[in-house]
Amino acid sequence: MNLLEITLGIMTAVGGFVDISELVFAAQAGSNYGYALIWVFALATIGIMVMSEMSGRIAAVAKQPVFNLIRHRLGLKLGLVTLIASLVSNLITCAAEIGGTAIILHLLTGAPMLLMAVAMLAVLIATIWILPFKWIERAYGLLGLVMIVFAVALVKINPPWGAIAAGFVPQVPPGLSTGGMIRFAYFGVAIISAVMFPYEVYFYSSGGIEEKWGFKDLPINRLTCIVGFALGSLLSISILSGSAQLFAPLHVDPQLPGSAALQAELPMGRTGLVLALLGMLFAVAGAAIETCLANAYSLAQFFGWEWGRHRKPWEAPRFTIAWILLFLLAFAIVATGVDVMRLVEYAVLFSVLVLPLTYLPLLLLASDRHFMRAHRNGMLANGLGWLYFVVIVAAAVAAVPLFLLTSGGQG
Amino acid sequence: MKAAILLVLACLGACSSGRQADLPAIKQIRSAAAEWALVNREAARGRLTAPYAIGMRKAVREEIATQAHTLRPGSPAAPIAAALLALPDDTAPDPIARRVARLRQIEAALEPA
Amino acid sequence: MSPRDRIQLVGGLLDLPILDIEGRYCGIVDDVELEEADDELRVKALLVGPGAYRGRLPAWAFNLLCRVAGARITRVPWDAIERVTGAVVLTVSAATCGLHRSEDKARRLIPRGGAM
Repeated sequence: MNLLEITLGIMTAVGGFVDISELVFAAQAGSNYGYALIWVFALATIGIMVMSEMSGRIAAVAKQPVFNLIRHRLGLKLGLVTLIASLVSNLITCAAEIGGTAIILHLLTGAPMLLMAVAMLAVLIATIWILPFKWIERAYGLLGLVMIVFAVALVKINPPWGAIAAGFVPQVPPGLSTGGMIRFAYFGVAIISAVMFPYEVYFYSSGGIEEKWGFKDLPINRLTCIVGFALGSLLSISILSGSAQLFAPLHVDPQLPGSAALQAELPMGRTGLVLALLGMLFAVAGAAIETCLANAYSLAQFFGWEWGRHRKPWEAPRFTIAWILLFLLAFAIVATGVDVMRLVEYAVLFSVLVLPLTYLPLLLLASDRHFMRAHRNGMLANGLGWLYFVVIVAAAVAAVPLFLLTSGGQG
Repeated sequence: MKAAILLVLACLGACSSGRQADLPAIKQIRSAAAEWALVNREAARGRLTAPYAIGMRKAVREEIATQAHTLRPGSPAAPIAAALLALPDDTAPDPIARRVARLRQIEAALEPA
Repeated sequence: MSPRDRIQLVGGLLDLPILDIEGRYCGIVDDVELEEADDELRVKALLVGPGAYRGRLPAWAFNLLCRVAGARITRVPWDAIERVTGAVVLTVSAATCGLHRSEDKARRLIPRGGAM
């Protein structure tokens, strides 16, 4: 194992963990419920570790990306339903990410938001066109490490570490009204969805094929998923904890994407503010690329097109047209002026509905002796996999009623 | 099954009183105003960049205006929202904070037991 | 699995990706053409293309898809297949089977240059 490759892989996973949905829900979770939702972040992170490790292992051993096996396992009809649902879900998520970057750029520069959205679109398209896959992933992942400023800010405000540690224990805050319990449950489901977004698994497994993973990459796959995602999750938990410590006493329930940056500004001044905005910009821009490519991968893999950025754009022309058109569609959604926070809520809602259809074929294939041979799921992976499948089915069933009852978490 | 779920949701929706229907909007207005006070406090201390302060002020005012529009006629929060919107963007934090405190009192009165 | 082995048609062949001799993706097994020989059912050809979805989708969905993507079907004869594993691997290039027409059409829209 190459130590540099392992380190870069882990750091890329850390910097690429947080996206606009996690940013928003972590901050709101902290301001509304203190540290009481930390355990849900931890629970969801273990879930994405389990599912991503499986998808990476499938990519390395069976040389199959996710959507090939979704169609093969579920068949054409159910596969098409999954494809359409995930296209819609990822498109809304991509629009939210592009809108998020436009807002952050507007707060950094003062330039009009629509102009910043156009500029960001151009940068994202140029990034994918020019750079090979490894550097697309690494550029934004490593730049996203600037998000560490939130962890540094948290340390500086000297929070109650005991209370934060206690937040890892499953709990429901005492004394909540019925409405409060329902809203707490909504936040739980939203956090599970935001951390376990299906696009992450599509992107991760396709990335494994792009990088031509083989048996020798199985350890790095496992390390990246476990160590990288655990450290990335700590960034989300830093945002939640900072919000609990700083926003809750001021009765601020952050509703704007730029609000989280104040968590770094309050202890660290202007430097903290700018670093937080830059970290958010790179993390969210990286997520915009991942969601768009995830959709293009899904389309290409479902219909058997040549795909991947390990090929030049003209060597995979339908795939290239797909990701460019998908970016333009996402931008068109942003250009309608729809509130980015509403997009985030809908992205989280649609994604949790798609999760069971995404993870079921993964689970089945990861345990398949014919495809995976000696590297099929052991007892632990199988046990955890099916446990999380039950969790996400429960989340999917509860999502729409909770969304409606709480007006998207607002009341 | 679908019909049963829709029936339950419709009943739940009908059960909330008119005044309580304003609660989400009042919370949003309160939160946006609290954030505005925070931004202006930090801006007065010279700790924010100009684009950030201007951008956040504009965003919170838009949020207050949007939510105020959804309040029922006669809502006790409506004049407070109007008073907030009448304040200059860079107003001192205290006038905003007073109105935040008043909105919290209205919220507390409307919260279900 | 080699082409002479017994195959599970549904579990083992349908909806598998197809790779040509150069390792390029060139379609999905959308349907299969069978023939009866020596009291056995054998696969005569793979069918690739939206036209092959007839019978696998409801009529309204099939008609809608054909409006968008056309109704072409490309036949890949069974003897062009080297092996069936996680994908169907061909012994010929995609162009030989007529499987790269859409990709070639799309290629004309993509400028060359600027990519590392």
